[in-house]
Amino acid sequence: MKNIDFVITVDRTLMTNHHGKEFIGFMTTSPAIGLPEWLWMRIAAPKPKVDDYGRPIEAPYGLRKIEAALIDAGFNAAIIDPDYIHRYLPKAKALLIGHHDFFAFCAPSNVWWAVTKKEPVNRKHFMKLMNSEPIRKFKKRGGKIIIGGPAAWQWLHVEDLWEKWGVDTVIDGEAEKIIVDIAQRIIDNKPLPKYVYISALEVPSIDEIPVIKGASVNGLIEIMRGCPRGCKFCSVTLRPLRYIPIDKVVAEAKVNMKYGRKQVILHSEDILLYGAYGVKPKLEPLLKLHKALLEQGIDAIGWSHVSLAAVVYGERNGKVLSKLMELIYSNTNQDYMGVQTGIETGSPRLAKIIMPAKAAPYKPEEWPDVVEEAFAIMADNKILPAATIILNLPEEIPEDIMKTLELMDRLKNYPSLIVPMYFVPLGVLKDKKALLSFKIKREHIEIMWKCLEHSLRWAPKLAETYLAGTPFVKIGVKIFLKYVEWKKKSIERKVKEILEEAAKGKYEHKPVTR
Amino acid sequence: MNSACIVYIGKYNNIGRGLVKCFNEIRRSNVHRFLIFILTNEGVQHIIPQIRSIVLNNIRYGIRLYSFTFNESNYLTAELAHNIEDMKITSIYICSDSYGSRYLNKLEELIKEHNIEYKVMTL
Repeated sequence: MKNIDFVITVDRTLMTNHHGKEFIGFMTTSPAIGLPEWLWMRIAAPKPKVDDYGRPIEAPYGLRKIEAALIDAGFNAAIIDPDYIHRYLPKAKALLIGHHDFFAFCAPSNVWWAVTKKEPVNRKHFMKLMNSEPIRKFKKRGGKIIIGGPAAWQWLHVEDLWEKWGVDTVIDGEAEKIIVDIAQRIIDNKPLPKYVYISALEVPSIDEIPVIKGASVNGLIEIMRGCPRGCKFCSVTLRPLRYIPIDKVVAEAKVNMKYGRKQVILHSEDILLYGAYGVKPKLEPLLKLHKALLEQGIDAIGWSHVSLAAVVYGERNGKVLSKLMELIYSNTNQDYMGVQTGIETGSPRLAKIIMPAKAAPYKPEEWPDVVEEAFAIMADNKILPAATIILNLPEEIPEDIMKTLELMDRLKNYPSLIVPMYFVPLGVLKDKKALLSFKIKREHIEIMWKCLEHSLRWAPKLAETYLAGTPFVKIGVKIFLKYVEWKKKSIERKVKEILEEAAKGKYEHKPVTR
Repeated sequence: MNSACIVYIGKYNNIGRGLVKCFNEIRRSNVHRFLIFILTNEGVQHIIPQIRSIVLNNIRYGIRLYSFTFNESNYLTAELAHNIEDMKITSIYICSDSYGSRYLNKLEELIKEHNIEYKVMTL
């Protein structure tokens, strides 16, 4: 393989398998804390195995989809590890880069950045890649740079870098169809669009979504696109809902198995809504999907996300979660599962405004009860949730924060991690200065502190379970946790002073209006 | 899917105003996708701040944005001609400032060849 026309890559923070532990990937959204950066990166984002041509054995799923779309259309395209792109860029026609947080503007990177006042490693390594000699030389000789992925919107705020690095096209949205058109334009030497936004009406149909050609990081496979809940803070809800057929999911699992990946992480905004009746999970399609995978010889199944309302409804109506876990645990060697989920707020008032269907089929008024019941069900089924809470939501008032704190108290005995995210409203996105001068409000510190206490209580125990089998990573994570514990003690007094001042009303709270 | 084309011709600091004028006009029609051409005197660094709000205000629509400098005006006409067929453009909205108006004649000739509905606005 001497030449590749379309080289697809990304920086080290994503071109890695995180030691086979997907959750470790979260460390790449933060600056190095309590450890030197080189060690932080060794723990969070080790170099992946590559073949003789510099092609990673496992690569990010989004890049795999773009690679597959181009290969299916007859183009000479391959994903190349960033350490090997210098081999191909001298003759390549285009360099394609996809990322989920190029500049650390997304949560949780923006929170870690604001708290530590240090640039997260994902941003640093992406900038390093773009400033690297092979890319500078490639651009100098007229090569095309195409950017995409879920964080493509961030380029609307970095026009100086867009120009400096000579980015030709930014594609925002599901790109499997448009990338073929763009590739043809590059071959034909035609002008390229500077910016493309793919609307809900233009997204690829199920038939147009290609099957990946090489293994995905940690065996991740998409089973759904879109989400029916319509939360106001989430862009996924703008996309139409599509279920990937079981045969396609199995075909991708087989690709992963061919490359030695016998584990699978099912990806969707809400795994339990696969084949569901609206927001009510149905056991049958879920069982069919899991059985089909297990029949192939898959030896571990993970889920990316579940919604808490689906956990509760499914369990109350047919023990959906228990039956699925029983199937998985009895047919694999695994005895727990990690999953991401969203609490977002403990306030029914706020839930009603910004995520009225998050609790559905239950009422927003029942949201805190739904959350606690879901945590209890997950604990019973050995599911370890990493949950998010969103601060600074539009129309948030101090009473909402109190409700969230109360809910966190109710959750303290359930093994879990709870991570605060900071909401960036659309109004701020339109104002570059506001986006980049992002600051954490005083009144949110109490919740962040509570999240820290909760996560520090459970993280060491969860690390024992989750990181069994990766002793080097476990030691690194333990050092990091010790450092955070020590740091927490050193700033405790200052934080308490701030909280006491806030309680006296020193910090005026103005609800965000849109 | 109905597609419309917006062409802005003029100095970069009027792009925002020009596009808003066009979008206000188009919103009344049943269009789902926009092809936007910008012919101006500056590169992407100056164009993006002008279009940021417009893009974010219209995320329900599909958008393809091309930009060319005045020296590249031939590309604009070639691309427009190609895309009228390819993207099934149903209408074209042209906006220019006083600087850009000198390019309008050529553009109008091209559009008339395709017998397509169009509207010209000036800032």
